[in-house]
Amino acid sequence: MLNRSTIKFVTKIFAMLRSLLLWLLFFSTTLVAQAQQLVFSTQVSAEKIGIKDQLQVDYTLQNAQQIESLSPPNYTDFTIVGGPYQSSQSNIQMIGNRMVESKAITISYVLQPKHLGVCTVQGATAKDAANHTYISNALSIQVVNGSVTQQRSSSRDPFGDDDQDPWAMMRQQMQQMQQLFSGRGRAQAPPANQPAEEIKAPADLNKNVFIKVSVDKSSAYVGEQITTSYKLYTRLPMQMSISKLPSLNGFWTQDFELPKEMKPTEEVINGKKYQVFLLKKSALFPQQVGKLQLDPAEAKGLVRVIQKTKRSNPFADDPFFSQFGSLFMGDPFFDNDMFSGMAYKDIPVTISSAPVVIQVNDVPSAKKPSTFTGAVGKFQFDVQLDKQTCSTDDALKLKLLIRGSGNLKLMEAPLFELPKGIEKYDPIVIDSITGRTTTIEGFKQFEYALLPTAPGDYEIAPITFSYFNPTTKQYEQLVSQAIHLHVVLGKHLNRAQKNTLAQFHSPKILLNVHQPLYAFDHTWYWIALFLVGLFLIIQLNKDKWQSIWAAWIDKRNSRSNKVALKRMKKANVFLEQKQTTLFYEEVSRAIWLYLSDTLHIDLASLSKEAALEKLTARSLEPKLIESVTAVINDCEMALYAPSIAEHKMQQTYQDTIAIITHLENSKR
Amino acid sequence: MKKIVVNFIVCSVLVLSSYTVWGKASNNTLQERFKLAMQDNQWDVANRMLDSMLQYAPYQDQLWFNKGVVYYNQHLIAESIACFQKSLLLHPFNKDAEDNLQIAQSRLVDRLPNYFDFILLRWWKLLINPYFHNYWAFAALFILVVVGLCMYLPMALRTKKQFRTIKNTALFLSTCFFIMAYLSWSQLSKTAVFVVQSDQAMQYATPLSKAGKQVPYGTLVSVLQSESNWYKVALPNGIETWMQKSAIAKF
Repeated sequence: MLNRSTIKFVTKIFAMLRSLLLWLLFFSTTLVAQAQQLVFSTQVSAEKIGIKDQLQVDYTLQNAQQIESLSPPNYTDFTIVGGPYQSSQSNIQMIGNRMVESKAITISYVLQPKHLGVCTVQGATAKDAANHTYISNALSIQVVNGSVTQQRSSSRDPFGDDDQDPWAMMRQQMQQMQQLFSGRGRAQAPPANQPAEEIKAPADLNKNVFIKVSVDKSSAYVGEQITTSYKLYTRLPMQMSISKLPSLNGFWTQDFELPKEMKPTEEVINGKKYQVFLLKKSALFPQQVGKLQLDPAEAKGLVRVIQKTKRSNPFADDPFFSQFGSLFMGDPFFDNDMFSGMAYKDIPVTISSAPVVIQVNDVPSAKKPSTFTGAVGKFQFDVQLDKQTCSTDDALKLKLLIRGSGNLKLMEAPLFELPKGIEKYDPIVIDSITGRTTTIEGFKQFEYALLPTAPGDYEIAPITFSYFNPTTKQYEQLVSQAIHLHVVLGKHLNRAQKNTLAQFHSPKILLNVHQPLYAFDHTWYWIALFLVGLFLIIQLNKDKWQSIWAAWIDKRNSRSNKVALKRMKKANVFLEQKQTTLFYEEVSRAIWLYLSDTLHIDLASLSKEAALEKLTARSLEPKLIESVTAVINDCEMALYAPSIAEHKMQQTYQDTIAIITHLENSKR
Repeated sequence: MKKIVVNFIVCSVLVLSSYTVWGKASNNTLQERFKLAMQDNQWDVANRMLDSMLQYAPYQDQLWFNKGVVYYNQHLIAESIACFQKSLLLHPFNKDAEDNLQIAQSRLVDRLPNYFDFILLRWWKLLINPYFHNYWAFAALFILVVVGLCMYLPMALRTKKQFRTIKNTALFLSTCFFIMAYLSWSQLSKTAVFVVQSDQAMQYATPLSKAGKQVPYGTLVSVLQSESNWYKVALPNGIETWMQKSAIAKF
């Protein structure tokens, strides 16, 4: 029988236990408050194992960010028989009006003890990017002979069985609660007092917790941005994590930035107020034409439902506690929910969204510019060349920069042609998303390396960038400015050029500018040529020229003879008519002209002395010379004294005929 | 009469000497101005000075060379090529012009391949180059003088058959040289250089080439025929075609 002091002692113990539970609850909420702080802990599968048993050790890093290394300790008491195995998990947890997402990384090892007794599992070491070192806690394991697992399965002590031990049950329940609130528990693992298989959410539960995928448009062009939002609607406390994201085949996706601390919004659907959590917001850019389906998103987790289930009091069935009777149960501590059953029930559920179908149309083919390369959205276009002047040794960078919102990742480089003499290499493509708040904005840069191969002045023609603006449903064109490029000859020419090209020569200043001498342009050349030519012509045909001269002389002589005889014929007429003066005039002309022609004496210098001299030089007979002298004298005398010479007319006529005949004969 | 002749001679001498002095002074001034313009990179001024000097001496190869350099500095490559080519036509052994022509042509973006020229044809073209005109002309005259002097050799020597053979050969050579002198002199009127100065110069359809093929900027062409606004030209690759006159510059 128990005395009063014993009852007081037991009551005090239970009061202490109650306060301990309260402290544990307080401690767990503190953990929640510190959920975003890094926690590095060591957990083992059992605190007591046999020498033949294996021990699983989990090193868990919660809220780890930028951890660079995680190294296990050097186990002195254990041998590693398995591991490391890495796993990670992500949990979304609702705390009041806030949704907190926590991530954890777990490295697991399977160890085999080396000896009996107390063995120590040392803490692992982790380092982050800032070179901070974190060491997890060490744990002591009691290693006994044989195998503890076999002992447990073979002999079950009602007091040694944790499942039946009320303290163990309490501890397990507290751990579950702690896990639930701290988010450390694995979402997939059902509580120990629940069946192991997953429970499909009942229909009424689906009305209270569901995922909805909303799109801003159900029909779009290829490349046009479609904004999708994945929202979790709930009216119940829950712990959910997205287990499966929709496969977005046929789309290029870009996620929007979400606030780090997400606050739920409230929406009223069918008169019911829901708390709405934006899980994910993405921009989708369809890449193919047709009906594209957004597969459902799926989330798993626990939903806490209020369930008025009465739990059996473990102390009531215990023979030890049954001795206390109603006195023991009369304590208000034993009337609370812990012993009367949980007021909330965590039900593991899997919820998924309804699939969404989007009709994707091709961009209009009408008025599609030839320079269209698939850009859809709203853009700005800029072309930059890093140098305007360079040499053939230099390489140039031509940047085509496209800024704006649209399918930046999908568009191809604008088409353009370079003038001959400039080689173009494949571009370096840089794209970056700079804005993710309301629209996906960014830039895409095509950087071409250009290599001028020949010096010269080039003009890179304006480059046209065409895109389809889904807002106006029209193609728009952006045209850059033409770029002038001056390329000079570089020093490092290629071999072919180097061998052939010399240094460029500067102009030469002439001391005296004159027209070059061309012989044919000068008169003196022609004169000289004429003279020399004439000389040669004469010299080379001397004999011929002489014969020609002689013939000419003969011709002339014969002509003078004819003239003289003609005159003498006329003189004979005057002789017969006894006209003395006329007769002598005619004879005088005949003899003088004949002598002039025959003796080659011009009339100006013709005189009796000259004629006689020529006749003498010809070695003629003196009688003939005397006869010529007599005829000339008679003619002169007859001009001054015609009466005296009248009787000599016949004699003069005959002498003159004789002289001409004689001289003619002397020529032959 | 004698007084008139003396006065005429004196006046002629004075006029000629003054013209010579003025001409030299004028050219020297132009040279100085050209030199200063080149030093100050005033290419337009330098070009004008050269144009003035070329009016006086249009066949002075060095002036064309200088003009080519000026054009080159003005980045007028086609014109520069034409001037260097003209300088080489007037003086085929102007190495500087040859080097500069190569450099200028290397700046062309595109070039037509040169039509294959037989070496004999090249030699013939070289022989009838105006540069050799004086050689031919004076050689012909010299041979005639020598033959004329030979006429004063003793009759015994002149009557020999060998003398007559040599004499006739010399006369034949002199005639040939004279013809060569004439041909080279006539080439002066064919030293006009035509160059394609338009990027848009299009080739007319010919049996050998497709219609609309582009003739590169800076291509030297030979004009074969002129008709209204068109030239019939021979391209360096041997193709004959018609081109618009506005696309071709003449130097």
